[in-house]
Formats: sequence, structure tokens, C-alpha cells
Amino acid sequence: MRNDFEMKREILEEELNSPEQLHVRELVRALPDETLSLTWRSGLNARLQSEMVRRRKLNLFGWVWKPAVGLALAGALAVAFIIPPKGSAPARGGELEKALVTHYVESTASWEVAGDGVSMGEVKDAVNQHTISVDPEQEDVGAL
Amino acid sequence: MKPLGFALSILLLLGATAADAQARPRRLLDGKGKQKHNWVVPAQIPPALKLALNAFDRIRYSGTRVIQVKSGTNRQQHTELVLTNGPETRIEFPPESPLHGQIIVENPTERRQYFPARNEIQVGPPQRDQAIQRLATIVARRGVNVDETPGGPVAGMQTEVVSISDKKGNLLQKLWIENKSGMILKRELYDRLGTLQASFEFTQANLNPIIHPTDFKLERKGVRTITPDDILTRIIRKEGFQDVRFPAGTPYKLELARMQKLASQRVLVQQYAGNGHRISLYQLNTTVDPSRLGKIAPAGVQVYTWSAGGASFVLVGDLPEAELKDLGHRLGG
Amino acid sequence: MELCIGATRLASREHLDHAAEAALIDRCRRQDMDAFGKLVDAYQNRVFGFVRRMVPNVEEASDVTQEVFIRAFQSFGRFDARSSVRTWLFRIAYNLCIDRARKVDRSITEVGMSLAQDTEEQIDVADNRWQPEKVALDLELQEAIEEGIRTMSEKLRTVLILHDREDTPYEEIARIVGTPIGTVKSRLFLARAHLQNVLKNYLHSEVTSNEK
Repeated sequence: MRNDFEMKREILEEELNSPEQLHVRELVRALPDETLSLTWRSGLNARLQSEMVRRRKLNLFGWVWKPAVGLALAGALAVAFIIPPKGSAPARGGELEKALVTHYVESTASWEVAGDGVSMGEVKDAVNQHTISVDPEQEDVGAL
Repeated sequence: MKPLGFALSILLLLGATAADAQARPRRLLDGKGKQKHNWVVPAQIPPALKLALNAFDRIRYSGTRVIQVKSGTNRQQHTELVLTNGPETRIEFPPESPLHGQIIVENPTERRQYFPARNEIQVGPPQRDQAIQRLATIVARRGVNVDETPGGPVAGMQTEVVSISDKKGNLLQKLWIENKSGMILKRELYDRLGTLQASFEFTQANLNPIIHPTDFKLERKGVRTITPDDILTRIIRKEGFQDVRFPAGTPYKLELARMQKLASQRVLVQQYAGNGHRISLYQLNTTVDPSRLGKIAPAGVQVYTWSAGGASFVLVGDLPEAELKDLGHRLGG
Repeated sequence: MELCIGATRLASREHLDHAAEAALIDRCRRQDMDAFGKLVDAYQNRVFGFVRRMVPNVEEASDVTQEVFIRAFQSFGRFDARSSVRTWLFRIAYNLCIDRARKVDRSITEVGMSLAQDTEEQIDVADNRWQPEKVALDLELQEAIEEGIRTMSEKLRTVLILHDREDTPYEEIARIVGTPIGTVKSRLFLARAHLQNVLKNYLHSEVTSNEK
């Protein structure tokens, strides 16, 4: 059995190009490709975006700290702990995600059956104008 | 007798014209003389469904249709008065309906919806074809089972029931189709748990309606005309959202733009349709969890998210992954 | 050479030419998210293909692959372009896999690796990405090869995947794993010999059927 690490370079080269070894290489090469889901990519996008935001904050911090370290620290602390960054409020327990998917599913089903008729949202608008109470979570702000 | 004879001649002439119009396909013919639809009618489907798909853009009827849609924990129901002549449709609403006064007229090039309170006509892409294209796409999918059994009478007419289920045997939808004309008299859509998601049913239908030449025209004096794109622009300006919308050149047309409150968040919703697919773009000023979205999305529905300028964008659609991702990229994702 | 013909996933590798990659690198250094997205598009499946065979399960492999790209994004300013982006990404991936194995305080070779649960329907439609020269494998043979890869040491596995699947030159593999080129070659020989041994039944029956 040629499992010797000290195998001579020439012999090794020859062995690596033997039909048996090349056959194995073809088999490995022929394995199906791996694919990642769109969810994975969406997750990466979100992480990259927060990394970008973090970097911008750091860059800003870097510019400011030289002239006024104390002030910058206070500012950074304020940014980090007191002022909630716009657009980064955490979603509550998956309700938002569920609501988004449910909205798509329900509006698509409505669209499928209604065809050229009115949409679910339009019916809601009309109903709301007739002052019938609606589920506050499903409140429709309308087309303005 | 002379005026009566004249009137009868006119009526006969009108009748003959109408009959001719009915017999003559409005769409282009292909080389073999078969009518071209915007959808493909699969060969291996039951005869009633084949008839319905083939007749969809030729059929004439009038009727009263009750539509029911599940919305959260509630169900919404409304009634429409429908007049259809092939690819043209007119929809009005009964006096007791909150939608009374609105009129929808659709032809193969556009859909016009009149709002009397605002004296406004919204002009958007036609939707009738999209719904039937989607049905044709679903039954053409591999692994989808389509069965036909005799159905009971609906709106006083005999029907065949076509049941569509996925490869695991879960019922997706049922259609009640009139035997001779191919009119879809009733349709029910189910979610993955088997709950009725949406349905319509004709409670009354007439396959020989009287059609007036102006039935499919919709003009009003002094009316303001507006498109879904105009509405989107208006919302973006008023609510301070980013102007992110599908570019011209995609097959997907904006059908609806609106503000919606979802899980206490204000969300800008854009709904697009094309080639039988439905895509929604949500824009909101908060973060979303992509992995959670991916887990919640039902089979066949893809989700793609990204963030830009402090806003989150969520693209949801029944497209292949790569296509949805490409769309997302084009929108800046 | 034709082996067993069966359903196979379609190849979805995207290649960047040298000029396109250089332009992208330049933009990535300026933290252009769009450009970085294109690099991710080009390499995500290849990196995942490597990582998936280095960690025990698909979910963890997905996480590690994300981490590879996050690290790359964070340190793009330090990427000196002496090696290709691909080599650089594989080096990050390799280091993360090794770190992960150390953190769980056991060697990767000792971890029982479960088969990738792939219940998705196989696509059998015509596609212009189809590569006719690529050998199609049946499912049983695929699983046997994966099993063979799983049961070799991580040192052999790394070299085998990088060389035979990813066509990475010996010099670049040597840089990734930090060993001399001769060691890379001998590891490759041993990895293939291991697979040959695991697959001897399949390879034998194939020869027999070809002789018939």
C-alpha cells in the first residue's frame, strides 16, 4: 500500500495521473453542485447591512474622537443606548413576518377568485367607510 | 306594422351581429386555426377544465357573484353584478353594498374602475387574464392532480367539479364548471391546512345576456384619471418612503399600491402581476427577520429581503428563486 | 467516460473573468454592497459546497458560509489580491471550519456527519447550463462518494475537495492549508486512494458492465 508520505515526487506525480486516481477525480467532480436558498441570501443581506451600519458608526466615531474624545464617547453612548436608531426597531416575536406572509397569501387568494373584480383592500376601504369595526392588527390604511 | 317590422329587422340584425361576434374569436389565431390564449391549456386535464380554459375569453354571461375572502380571523363577503362578453367585463355592485356606485370595466388592454365619491377613474392593467393564466399554470405543474366528478347544480345549472390537489393529496382548489359553456360558476381555494381561503359563487347566471354596445365603455364628465403608479408616487411623497418600484420592462405590472398596517407597522404594499404570477413588494421602516420569513412562507412562495437607507424591503412571490432574486437585485437588493 | 446516468442537479456555477473580478474587487474595497453582492453570487455555492463537507450538518454549513462572506466583507480592505478572491474565500472558509472544530473541542474527523437532507424535487427540464461533458451520477453512487469523503480525515478531505471539485492549483491549496506543495499532493493521493477503496464495489461493477 502506497501510503507513504515520503513517496518520491516523480512517483507521486505519476500515481496522481494514473487512470484509477483520475477516475476518482472525475467522480468527485461529478457530484451535484450545492445550492443555497433565497432565505440564506436574505439573511446574509441583512447581516451585511447591519455590518455596513456598524462600520459607518465606527468611521464617524473615528473622525470625531481626535478633537473631542469625551464628547464623542457621550455621543456614541447616546446613539447606542438612548436614541433608538431609525428603522432598527426589532420585530416582535415574528408577528410582523407572519403578517407579511399572511398578507401575501390572503391577497393572492383574493386576487385569484376575484379576477377582474375588486381587491380585498378595496372591499376593506369601502367597509371602513361604512364604519364597521375591523381587527386593529389588520387595519388597512388604504391607497390615500 | 311598418315601424314594428323595422324594429324587428334591427333586432334581428343586432342579434346576428352579436352571434357573429360571439362565434368569431377576438384573439389572434395561430397557424392551425386554433385560438391563441395568453395561457397554455394543458393536454392532460379533465374535459370540463379544458373547456373552461378554452372558453374563458369567448364566453358570454351575466350573473350575480358572491365573493368571500378570509382576512386574518375575519371573513369578508361582497356581491358583484357581472356582465361578460369574451375578454370584456363590466362589474357593478348592488344598492345595499358599500361598494355601490363603483363600476369596473375591463378589456384586454386595460381595467378602469370608477369611484363616484372622488369622481376618479383608476386605470390599471387588465386582471382577468392573470387569474386564468395562474390557474392554467397551477394545473400544468408536475405532481399536481386534477380530478373531475359530477357536481350538483350551481345557480340552477348542472356542473362538473374539478378538484386540484398537490402531490401529497392536499386539496388546493375546487371549481364547479357548467357542462356545455365552460362557465366557472363556483370556485374555492384552500390553504395548506385545508381551510377555505377564498371563494366565489354565482347565485344567478344567464348564458344569453343582452349586451349593449356601451356596456364596456367607462367615461365620466370631469373625471380625474389616475394609475396605480400615480397612487404609488403619491404615497411615497406623503409617507416619506423610498421610491423603489419595479422598472419598466419587467413582465409584472403594478396593480395596486397602498398603505397597510401589519403587526402595528405601517407598510407600503405594492402588488404586481404578470405571466400568471403574483409578486408583492413590502417597504417598511423596521427590521424583519429573513430566516423567519423563509420558514413561514408556504411551498412555492419565495421571499427575498434586503435593507437600504434605513428601510427594509421584502419581496414575496410565486416565482422561481433565481428570478425573484434577480428582481430584488434590480430593485437595489 | 460515461458512468451511471441518472437525474442530477444542474450546475449553477457562475464564473467571473479576470477583468470583471478585478473591477469588482476594486469596488468591494470601497465597500460597494452591489459589487460585493455579485461576488457572493459568483462564489456562494462553491464555498458552501466546500463547507458543507467540512461541518456536520447543512444548517451549520449555511451559517458558516454566511460567516465566510461577513468576514470577507469586514476584511476586504486587507485583501492584497496576490491570490484570487476564490482562494482567499476558501482560506477564510477553511480557517472557520478548523476554528469551529477546535471550539467544539473535538476533531472534525471524529464528528459523525449526517447526510445532507435533500428532499427537494430533482429538476429534469432542459437547461442551457447543462454540461454534457460532466458525468452524471446516480443517487446511490453519489451517496457512496459522500460517505467516502465524510469518513476521511479533514486534512485529506480539504485537499480532495479543493483540488478535485474546485480545480484549485496545488500552490493555492498549499497557501490555504499552510503546508508544502508536496504534502498537498501526497494528501490528494491518499484521499483518492481512500475513496477508491470505499467505492471498490461500485467501480468493479461498473467495469464489469462496461465489459459486457
